Amino acid sequence: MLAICIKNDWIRYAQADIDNQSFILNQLEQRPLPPELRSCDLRSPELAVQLQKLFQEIIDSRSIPDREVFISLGYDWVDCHLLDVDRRLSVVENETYLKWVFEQRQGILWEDTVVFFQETTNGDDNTTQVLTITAMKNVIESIKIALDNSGTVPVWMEPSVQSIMRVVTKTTDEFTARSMTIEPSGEIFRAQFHTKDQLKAMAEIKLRSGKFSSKFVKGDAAFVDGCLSDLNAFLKNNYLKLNLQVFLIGEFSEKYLKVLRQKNGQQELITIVNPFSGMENSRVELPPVTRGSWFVEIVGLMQRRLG
Amino acid sequence: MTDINLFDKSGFQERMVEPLTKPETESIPRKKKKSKEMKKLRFFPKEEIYAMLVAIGIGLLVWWYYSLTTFVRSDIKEFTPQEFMRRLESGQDNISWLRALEL
Repeated sequence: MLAICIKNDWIRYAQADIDNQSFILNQLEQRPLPPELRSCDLRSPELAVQLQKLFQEIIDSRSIPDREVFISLGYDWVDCHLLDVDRRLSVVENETYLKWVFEQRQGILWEDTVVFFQETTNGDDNTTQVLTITAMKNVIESIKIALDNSGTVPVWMEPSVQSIMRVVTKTTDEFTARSMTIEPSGEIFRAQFHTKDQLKAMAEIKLRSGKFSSKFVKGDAAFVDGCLSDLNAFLKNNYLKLNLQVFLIGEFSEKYLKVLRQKNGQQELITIVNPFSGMENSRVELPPVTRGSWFVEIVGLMQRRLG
Repeated sequence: MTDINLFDKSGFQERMVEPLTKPETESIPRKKKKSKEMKKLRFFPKEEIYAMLVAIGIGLLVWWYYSLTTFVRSDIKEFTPQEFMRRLESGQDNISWLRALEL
């Protein structure tokens, strides 16, 4: 299989052989996106041509030919939301309601938008949360066409939120009920919040004067506030037991590390996501942990392939 | 949590869990309808009660007006001076003060 992740002006990809519920890594690469695909117009008819050129280069660079392609797209390519719906309504009624909500939000872009829904088990007796993904029709069509024209088979495509969650929830220890995955993005952090098997919220958070606060939240705001207030209490009094696992993708600058690298006995606050931990079969040299964490979506896609 | 494949069809890709309280959603309007009907049958709304009171009031006023007009004579006939003196003399009218004045 070929796993590709496009996010933050980077494209990362890996080629792996699937062998009896495990995979053998044959190739692991990353490269910056070509300038014409950075912050590009997602409705541009040129998109398919530019993507095909990029995919063709990747396919040509493979040491072992492969046809199955799995793709993960970052937040700059697809948008994710968590919305409440009435559990007592039928599927058709809920779908009509959600489409109406997005039609109001998207305005004139609605005609060019495609929207996907997935029910979660969050909610109470009367409401349930639905993960919704919106994307430009042109993006999905262009990727499909580009892969088809490159002689590969587009099998699976998902937002990076789901690829990350698949890896992180497997890493979460049995005793911690909540986890938070943060990824530095300029002066802010993109974060997603999970329970053991559920995505609870996505947020942009900031760190000011040694305190975390949310800039905006999609999903369960009370859950995010609870996690951040516990984290702030821990940063203030590090003898407290923190019932929250904090995962990091990438690396912090020194000023953030100073605040965050605090220890309480054997409890370390931040765990850098190591998607390759426990991987024994690899024909390529695996990157060190910090750089390896950037490939979390790639491993998430491979786990998806394994099922 | 089931995954979403963006290469697949849009909307809900897997069927949502059937509504847990589906029978309730059907029974709620029925119950409401029934209770409204029952309310309509047993009780009048406020507006209707006010309208009835006003109608009864108007009816009473009409009845009072006609009964008053029948009680108070409106066709008062004035005596001519001759007739008046004749009645006075015959003692049909008990107007003692007029007699005293005459005397």
